[in-house]
Amino acid sequence: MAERKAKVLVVDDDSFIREVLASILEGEGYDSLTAGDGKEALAAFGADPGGIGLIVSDLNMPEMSGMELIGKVREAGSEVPIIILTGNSEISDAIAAVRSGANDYLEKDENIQDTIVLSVEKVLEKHALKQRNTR
Amino acid sequence: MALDLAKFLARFVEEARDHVNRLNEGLVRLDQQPDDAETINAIFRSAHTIKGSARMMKLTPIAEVAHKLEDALGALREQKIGFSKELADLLFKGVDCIAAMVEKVAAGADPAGETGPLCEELARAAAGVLPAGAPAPSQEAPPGPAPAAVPEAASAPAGSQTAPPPKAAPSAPAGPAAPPPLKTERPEKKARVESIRVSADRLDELIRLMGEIVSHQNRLKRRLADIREVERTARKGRDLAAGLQAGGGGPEGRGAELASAAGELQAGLKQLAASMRDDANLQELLTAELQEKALMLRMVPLATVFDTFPRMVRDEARALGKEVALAVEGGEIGLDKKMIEKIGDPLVHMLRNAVDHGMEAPAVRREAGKPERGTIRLAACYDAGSVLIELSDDGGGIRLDKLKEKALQKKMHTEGELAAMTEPELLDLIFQPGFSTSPIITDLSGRGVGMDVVRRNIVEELKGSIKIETRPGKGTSFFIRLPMTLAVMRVLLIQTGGTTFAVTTHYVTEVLRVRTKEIIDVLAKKAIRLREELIPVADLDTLLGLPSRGGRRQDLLLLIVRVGGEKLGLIVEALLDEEDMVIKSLPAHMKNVSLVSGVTISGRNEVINILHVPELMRVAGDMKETMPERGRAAAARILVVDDSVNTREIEKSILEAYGYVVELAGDGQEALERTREARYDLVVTDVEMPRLDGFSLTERLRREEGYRETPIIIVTSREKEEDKRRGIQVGANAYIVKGSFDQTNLLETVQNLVG
Repeated sequence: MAERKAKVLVVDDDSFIREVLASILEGEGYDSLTAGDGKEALAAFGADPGGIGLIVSDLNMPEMSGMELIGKVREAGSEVPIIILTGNSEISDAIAAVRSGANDYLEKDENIQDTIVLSVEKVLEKHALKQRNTR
Repeated sequence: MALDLAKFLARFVEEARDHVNRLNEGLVRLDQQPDDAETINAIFRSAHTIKGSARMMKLTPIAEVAHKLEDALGALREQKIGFSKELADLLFKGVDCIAAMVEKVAAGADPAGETGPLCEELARAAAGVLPAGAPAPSQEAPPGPAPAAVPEAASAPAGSQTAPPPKAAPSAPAGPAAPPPLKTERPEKKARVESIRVSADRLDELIRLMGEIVSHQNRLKRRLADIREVERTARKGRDLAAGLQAGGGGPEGRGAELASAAGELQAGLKQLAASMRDDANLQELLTAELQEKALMLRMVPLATVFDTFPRMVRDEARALGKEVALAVEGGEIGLDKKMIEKIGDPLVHMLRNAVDHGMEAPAVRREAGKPERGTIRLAACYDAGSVLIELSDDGGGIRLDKLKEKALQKKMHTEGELAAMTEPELLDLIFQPGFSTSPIITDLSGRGVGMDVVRRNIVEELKGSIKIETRPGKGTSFFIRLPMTLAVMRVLLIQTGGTTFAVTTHYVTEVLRVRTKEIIDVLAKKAIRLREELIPVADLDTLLGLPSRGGRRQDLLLLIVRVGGEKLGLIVEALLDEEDMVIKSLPAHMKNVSLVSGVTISGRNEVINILHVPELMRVAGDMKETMPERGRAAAARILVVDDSVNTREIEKSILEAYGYVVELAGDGQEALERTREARYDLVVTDVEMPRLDGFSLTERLRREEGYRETPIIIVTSREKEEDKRRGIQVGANAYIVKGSFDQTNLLETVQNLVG
């Protein structure tokens, strides 16, 4: 594991949840930064598009929802992997999110501490592979 | 790698408590306005947030209940189910369950508990099935098939998660072009934090230090006075030297030299005094500001106590079959944390009284042409440097005739005395120890403590005051005035018997000089007539047992102090100063020195005793009691009923020690026989006894002509709410649980009931 781990942007309107998530990811060696809604996330992303390796975002947020955020990021031509989290498991949400360009979809349940780590790893790995192949 | 979630626990608890409060508030509001969509939304979000963070923390039981609560609220929001009192009870139950588990987490315990039945009940409620007609505090849900699945309403798209959490809102840049605010370095993160948590102890320490500095400031002013004194001495020296010079120059003409040196010394000192005065003035300003700012740190909004009240009032009213809404204002008003901790209990007691006794039953209100739902208003505001809390109800008001009746029954006053009393004096009766208009004393309303304890807390502990206004048929208002802090208080320094004492100014209504001959004798007691009011007067040195320096003086200095409605004029030798001083409490071994409530350190480093005015008042009153007996009625006769010889003997000895006449009975049957032979003023009975138990005894006594009104105290080890209710139903006046039974408890209750 010599390579530097990615910087993850955690987006959630609940400050408690975003801080816990950031803390979990930092515990795994990732860098993290946080944003309270889609708009803020987009601003952070816009300020440093190359620096952010992954976005973990809630769906329901004020100002700009997670779904909109995916749309805007993809519109800007970025391939940055996005993992969507949400409090309510509805399969239609999951489908919509993945259709809009999310790479994974997780429910905020009791296992989130473990699933988020696994999902981040998996998504980043896939992304790296894809980039190598398209190069 | 593994993340230490422990550091988030405290934060979780804090936020969960916050949301529990919001849930409670919101549910109370819904109870009154069931179709308030905004409120439904808000509490739905709170449940949702608790669920989310509990899951994060792997606190599954909490998450589970919050989830079901969210589902039920979701169904309510989608109008799939309607609001009802039963639903409200169930939702409250859910909130209580969460609150209890959160507190377990706070205490470092595992929140696991039996949440299954509650969750099922909530799930059924979300599906529109409520425990049909079940009474409010229903037992666990009857076992039954759980609904096949959580209904659709449950997973309603939470599209309304709009409100961001109130604190720590990150300062978001407006657009993509904004300066890069988000970097990974820690310091950057810290910059977003708008508040930090500091332990109360550290804050206390800071405020204590601040207090020392304020005291020191006064000391500095004394030093300035000292320098001035030295300067005066130097001036004398200079003048002497000048005289010496004029008188021939002294030996070897050194007189001129001496005069010039002395002149320089004096001028230098004068200069020093002047610049020191400037320094002291500036520092005084700064210190005052520091004091204010430091005290602000410990200010906590009253909302922290007020927030639980609407729920409490709702529950209390529902239990009594009344409709009462609580309107709260001024929750943002800040008060020293130390005081916030002490104001809660008195307010709870007063609110309960308001619901219990102030508010009429809906039918009575309707008849009186009032809305069935009564309103209690609890409002706080800043007023003239203090905090004013008003608690008003629109109930029936306090009936003066009932007060008189009660005072008579308790043998507190004679009919003649009562007839001569003014309305404020009569109202003041409710603050007298042992006077409680409540027909039943339950553990609920604080172990049978009454308004006397409320007033004592407010006046003695919180250094405040309380006032009542009542209008028959319209309601009652209480006005509580509190200082904003207790750390530093304004005191008057006085001298009596050659010693310096301090009196905190909130007791002092005025200071005046009177001619000795204005003091008149009333019933062998001294008094003074002041603006049509007759105020008793006492020599402070006599009260304190100090040598009197009295002699015959033309003028007397009189300090008029007031506690509640009572006033007293204290004759003192001199008034020395008025200062803000730091109050230190007494060391433990001196706590029983009742005339002194604390000490303070003067600018000259002397320890000055702070006089405890309520106690002075009592001592002065006792001296009055040595007057010819005002006929305190003969000692009350008490019948103690218990099948345990030990218990009844102990109770007997305690009660006898306090001057009661006590007789014993071994069971209910024997007690019944005795009551037919003799007349008792009060009965204390156990519950479980052979032949006739305590409940039945009480019931039977209530049917007897002579014992319909006689106070009965039930003392038992049965702690259950239903037993308590049973005790109340059969007509007991007080219900004491043996576990909490110590002699003061029984004694206080007895004293409350028969004086």
